Amino acid sequence: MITRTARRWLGAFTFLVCLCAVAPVLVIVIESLTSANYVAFPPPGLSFKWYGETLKRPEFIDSMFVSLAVALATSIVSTALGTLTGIALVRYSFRGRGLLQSLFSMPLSLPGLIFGLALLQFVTLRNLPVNGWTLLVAHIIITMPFAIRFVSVALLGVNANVELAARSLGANPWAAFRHVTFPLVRPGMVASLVFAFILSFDEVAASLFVSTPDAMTLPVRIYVYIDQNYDPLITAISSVLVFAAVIALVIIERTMGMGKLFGLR
Amino acid sequence: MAPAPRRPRGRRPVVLLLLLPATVLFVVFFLMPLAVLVINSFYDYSRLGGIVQTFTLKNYLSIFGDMYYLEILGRTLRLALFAALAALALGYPVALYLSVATARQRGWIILAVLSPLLVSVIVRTFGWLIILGPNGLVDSALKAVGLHMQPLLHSELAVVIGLANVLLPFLVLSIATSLQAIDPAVPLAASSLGASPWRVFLSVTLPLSLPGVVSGVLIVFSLASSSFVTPSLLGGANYKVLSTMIYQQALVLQNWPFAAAFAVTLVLVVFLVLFIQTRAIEGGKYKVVFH
Repeated sequence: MITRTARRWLGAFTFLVCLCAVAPVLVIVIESLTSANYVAFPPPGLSFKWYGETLKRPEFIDSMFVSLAVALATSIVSTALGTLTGIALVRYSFRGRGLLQSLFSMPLSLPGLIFGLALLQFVTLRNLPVNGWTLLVAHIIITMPFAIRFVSVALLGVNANVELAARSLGANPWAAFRHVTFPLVRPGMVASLVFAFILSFDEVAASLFVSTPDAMTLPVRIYVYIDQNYDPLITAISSVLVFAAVIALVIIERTMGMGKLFGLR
Repeated sequence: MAPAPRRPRGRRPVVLLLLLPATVLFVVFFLMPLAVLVINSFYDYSRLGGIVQTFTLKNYLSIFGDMYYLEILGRTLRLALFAALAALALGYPVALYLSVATARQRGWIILAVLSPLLVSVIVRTFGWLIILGPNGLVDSALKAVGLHMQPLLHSELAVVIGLANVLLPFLVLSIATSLQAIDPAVPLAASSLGASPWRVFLSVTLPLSLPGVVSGVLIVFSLASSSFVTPSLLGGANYKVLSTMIYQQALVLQNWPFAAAFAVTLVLVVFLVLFIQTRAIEGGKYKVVFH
């Protein structure tokens, strides 16, 4: 439905846009190999010295571990809670179901910055400590809508009668879930685990407010550093994040595909 | 419908048990913090004593009464609008090409457009810092051809470029989904009835893709109006929007009531956009992500 010339122009334009889409990431990886002590692109010479420099910065290594720990815990807790909630919302009808559904999807429309500020003010008002647990709670709430969504979508695809069949054949509710429902919603749970991990690992806005020097996620540490300094150190640290994203990408492509994770056919 | 099953005994406790953990978590650590935020926004602040718990409209009056703050509000809306339009101009052709591309090309385009979502926004923004900054990619390229220009960094244009890049995936997803939903027989029928390819695009494909365009633009608008990292790093210290004001008031000046009032204002802006969106087309902000 399109002329050959139009298609060619469209293709060329798309290619340029795709190039711009990956440009910032490519530029960072190239710049991380610079031998200069200042940021200049293209780099005047090549070296691995900024990677070596990274290893001498314990605060970044600490933040890497904080980010990994929070992301891992978020992904597991969020998926577990999301599964319980998803089952309740999809399989049972009760009063206030719609209300709960909107409550659980609210973090999607609330900017992370504002949630972070609200949580900080609340925690301080209640004289609760701000530490790694605050970060974890924030990340769980931010990722829950996605976890519930992924599990619900998987669950909607499962005929409720298969569970009833198992129950009528004498399985108790737990056995019916364990042997019938669980294997069927597993793809949704895997998607939720992966998505929640990435979302938590990359989160900046809310974490800015509930991070402390002792428990600061890597993206926040990077923000605080760039705000004050401008040197190639961050390119090396960012490249490590890019390599981690490539690993995540390979896992996603092998299991479900990027397009499918985001709902494209 | 399945025949009404014999309701398992203890059904209510089961539902309660399933919902209890998430509900408690959300009420305590989501709704209550938001309530605290709204209440704080009506409190006064003194530099010595911190939050003064007396009801006042002072914070809102100064936001909506002071030209300086009104300008910030206007700048936030303008930035979000420009970012949404820039993302649309870049994203629509890509989504359109996606619908005619071969399977192999599709795979590559989806990979290029969506995979940046896996990298933190802070990293992608830093990439633009290197592209647009002094001695950056653009600067070096211009110098190589003998042109000397003011670096683009720390301008509104830089922020728009950065935001358009960061938010492009949401727009492409939204439009591609609505283009996918078009029955291929419809444009085919139009062209078999003698319409030129341009005519088919203008009077069939484009109107049918409008729901995706509208919801995509609104998503990008609301995400851009609340974005923090990109305006803060690419706009420079003097480029103030609502989100950077909130950060400055809360974490630098420690004036929590004023920061809370800014936050409530920003939420109202975002909710107004979402309200228009749900009115325009039913479905929430991430409907395109999940259909």
